[in-house]
Amino acid sequence: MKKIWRAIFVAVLGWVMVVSGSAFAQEKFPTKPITMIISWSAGGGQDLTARALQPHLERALGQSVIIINKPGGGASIGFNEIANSPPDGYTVGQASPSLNIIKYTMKAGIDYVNFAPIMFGGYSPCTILVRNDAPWNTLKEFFGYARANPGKVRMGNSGYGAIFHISAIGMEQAGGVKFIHVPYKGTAPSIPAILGGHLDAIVAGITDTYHLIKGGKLKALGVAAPERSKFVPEAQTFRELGMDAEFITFYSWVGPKGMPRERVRILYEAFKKAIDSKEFHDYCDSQGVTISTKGPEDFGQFLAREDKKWKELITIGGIKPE
Amino acid sequence: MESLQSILLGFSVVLTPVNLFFCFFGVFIGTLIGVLPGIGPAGSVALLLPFTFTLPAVTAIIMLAGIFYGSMYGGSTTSILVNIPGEAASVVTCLDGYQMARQGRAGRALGIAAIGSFIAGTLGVFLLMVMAPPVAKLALNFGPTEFFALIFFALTLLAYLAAGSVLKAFAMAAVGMIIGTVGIDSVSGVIRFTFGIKEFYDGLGIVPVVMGLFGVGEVLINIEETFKREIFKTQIGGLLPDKQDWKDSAKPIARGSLLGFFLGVLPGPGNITSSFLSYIIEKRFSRRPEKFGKGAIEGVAGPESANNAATAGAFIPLLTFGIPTSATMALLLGALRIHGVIPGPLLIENNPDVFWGAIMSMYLGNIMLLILNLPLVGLWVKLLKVPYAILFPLILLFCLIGVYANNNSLLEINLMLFFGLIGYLLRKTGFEPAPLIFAYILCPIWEESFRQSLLVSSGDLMIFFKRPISAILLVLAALFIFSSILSSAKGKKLLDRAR
Repeated sequence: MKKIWRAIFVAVLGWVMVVSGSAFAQEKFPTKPITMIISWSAGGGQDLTARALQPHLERALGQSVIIINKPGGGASIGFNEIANSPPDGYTVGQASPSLNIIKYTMKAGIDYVNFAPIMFGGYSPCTILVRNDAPWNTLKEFFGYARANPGKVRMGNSGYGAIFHISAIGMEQAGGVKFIHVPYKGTAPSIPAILGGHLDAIVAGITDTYHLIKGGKLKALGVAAPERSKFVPEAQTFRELGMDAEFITFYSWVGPKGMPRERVRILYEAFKKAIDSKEFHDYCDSQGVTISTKGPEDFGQFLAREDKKWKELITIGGIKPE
Repeated sequence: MESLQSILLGFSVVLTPVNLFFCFFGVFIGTLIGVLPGIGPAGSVALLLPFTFTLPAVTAIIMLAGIFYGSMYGGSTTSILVNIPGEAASVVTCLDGYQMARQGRAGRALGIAAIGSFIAGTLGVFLLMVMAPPVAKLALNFGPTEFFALIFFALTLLAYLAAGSVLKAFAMAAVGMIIGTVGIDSVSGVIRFTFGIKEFYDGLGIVPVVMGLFGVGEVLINIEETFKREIFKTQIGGLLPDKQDWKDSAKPIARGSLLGFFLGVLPGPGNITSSFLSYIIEKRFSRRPEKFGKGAIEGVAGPESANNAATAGAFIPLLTFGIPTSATMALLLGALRIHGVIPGPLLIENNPDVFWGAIMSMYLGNIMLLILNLPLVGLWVKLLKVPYAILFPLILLFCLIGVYANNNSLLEINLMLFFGLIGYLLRKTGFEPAPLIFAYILCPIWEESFRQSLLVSSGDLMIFFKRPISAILLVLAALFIFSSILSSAKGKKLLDRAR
C-alpha cells in the first residue's frame, strides 16, 4: 500500500511542477530581463541618457534592463544588431536621427522600416554656436554676414554625412548662404577649434555644448527647432526668421520589426513612467535635453517624415553612400 | 588661482575614509590594468562607470582618474619583463626596458619607471594646479594647421625609433601609414579599405594592432626560440636604480615630464605620442645614441615620465573647458555629467570640492602608486623565473581577454591574431614594429589636419607658413633634416667636396 501512495505522491508532485512551469510562461510580459542595445560607446551622450533612465525603467518594468554598448560604423553596427534580434520584446535599442540618415549615407543596410518604434523621449535641437566674443549676437546678424560673404564662414561639424553636417546643409538651403563645412571626429574636437578661432561657428547639439554656453565661452545664436529651447531662450528659431529649417537630434527607443503590439504597448507604458520620473527630468534639465514624448504611432509617422526630409537634403548635399 | 584655502578644501575632501579608499581602489585597479596586456584604461573605466553612479561625484572622479593615471604606472612592467606592452603608451619602453631586463637590470628598469612616473605625475598635477587656465588658453592656439606641423616635425624624427636599419624603419612607417587609412574618412565620408566589413568603419583600432604586433608576435617568436633561449641569469642585480642610473635619468625624467604634460593638453592620444617623442628626443640629444636599443635607461625614464605627465595634462582641457582629449577622458566627462557636475568654466565656482578634491587626490594617488609599485618590483622580477611554458599562455590569455573586453568583438580578436602573425614575421626578418605603430597612430591625424587646414584656409597652401606656431615647427623640422643630412657620412663627403 505504501508503495502506491508514494507513486501517486510523486506523480502529483511531477504534475504540479509541470503545470506550474507553463503557468509561469503565461505571466505578464516581461518575465525576464530586457536587453537594451546602445549603438554608441560608453560615456557618450546617448549612453549616459540610457543609463540615467535605466533604474527607473527597471522599476517600471519589474525586470532588470541590461545595457550593452555596440559602438561603431556611425551607429550602424548597433542598429543592425537591434534589427536582427528576435522580435519578442526582450531586445530593444536606442535610436537617434542616424537611424534615418544612415540609409542614405552608408551602405549599411539600415532602413527605419525594419524597426518597430516604441517611444520618442526627448530631443535637442541642432544649434548654431559661435564664440562669446564673436561680432554676431543674433541669428539674423549671422546670416546677414553669411549672405554677404558666401563661402567664407567656416562651419565646423561632427563628421561628414553626420546629422550636424546635413543640418548645416539644410540651413544653407533655408538661408540662401554657403558655408565652408569643416568636419571633425565628433563634436568634442571641434570645440577647441572654435574657441581658438580656427572656426567661425559650429553646428552642434546643446547637450555637448551646454556647459560652455552656461560658462560664457560660447553663445547659441539659433536653434533649428519648432520653438525656442528653454535652455537657450535667447537663441532664435529659424522659423522666426522665416527660414524652414528644423533639425533635431533625439533620444528614442525602438525594437526589431514585427514585435507584438501588446508588448510594444507594455514597453511604451514603462518608458513613459520612467521618463516621467522626477530624477530623469532633472537629468535632462542638466544636460539640455527637452523632454517631449511620442507614442509608437506618432513616432512612426515622425520617422517617415524625417526620412523624406533627410533624403532630400542628402541628395542636395551630394552625399552618396560609398 | 590656487590659494591655501583651496588646497585645504581639496585635502579636506580627499582625506575621508570613503574617498581615500576609492582613491586607493582606483590606482590599484589602474596598476593592474596597466600591467595586464590588452586591457587598457579606456576599457576598464567604461566597465566601472556604471558602478560609479551610486557614488558621489567627487568619489567617482577620484576613482576613475586613479584608474587612468594608475595604468600609466603599470604599463611598463610587462614591457620591461617580457617585451610586451601593458598598453599602447608603453610600447617604447619595450625597446630599451626589455634589453635592460636581459642584462639582469630588470629591477633597476622597473624602479626607474616607477620613480620617473611618480615625479612626472606629481609635477604634472602641480602644473595642473597652478597653470591650468593659461595652459588651456595656449592649447587653443593649436588648430589643424599647428597639428599638421607638429606631427610633421615628429615624423621627421621617426628614424630615431629604429635600433637597426633606418630604411626598414621607414618601410614600417609606410605600412603603418597605409593601415591607418582603413575606415571612413572623416573629411569626405569615403570608406577606405574596409572590404565591406562594417566593424572596420572606424579603423582597425589601437588595441588589436598593438597587442597583435607586440603581444602575440612576441609570444610567437619566443615559443620558437624557447629551447634556444638562455634563462635570465639569476643575478637580477640591484632592485633599485643606482647612482649612475639616477644621473643618467634625471634629465630625461625632467624633459619627459614637460613634454608629456604639454602634449597631454592637446587633443589626441597624448600619452602614446609623448612617450614615443620622449624616446626620440632622448636618443637625438644623447651623447651616446648608440646605447639606445641596447638597454639605455634614458629610454625607459623619459617615456615613462612622459606618459604619466600626459595624463595630468589631459585633465586641463577636461576641467577648464569640459573638452575630452581622448576616449578615456570622454568617459570621465560622462561620469561628471551624469552626476550633474558641469565641467568647464563654472566648475571651480559651482563645484570647488570636486575640482580641488580631484586634484588633491591625484597627489595622494601618485604617492600611493609609488608605495604600491616600488615594493612590487621584487615580486615582478621573480616572475622572470617562471618557466616560459607557463608564462606565455597566460600572457596570451590576457591579451585575448583585453581585446575582447574592449568591444565584445570576435573580429578584433582575429585581427589581433593576424597582426600577431605579422609581428612574428617582422621580427624574423629584422623589421621593427615600433615605427609602424608611431606612424599608424599619427598619420590619420596628420592627414585629417592637413585637409581641415586647407578647408579653413580655402585652399591656401601658404597657411602653414602664415601661422607662426606652424611655421616655426616646419622650419625646425627642415633644420633637423638638414642637420641629419650634413652629419651623415654622405653629407660630410658632399661638404668636403664643396670646400
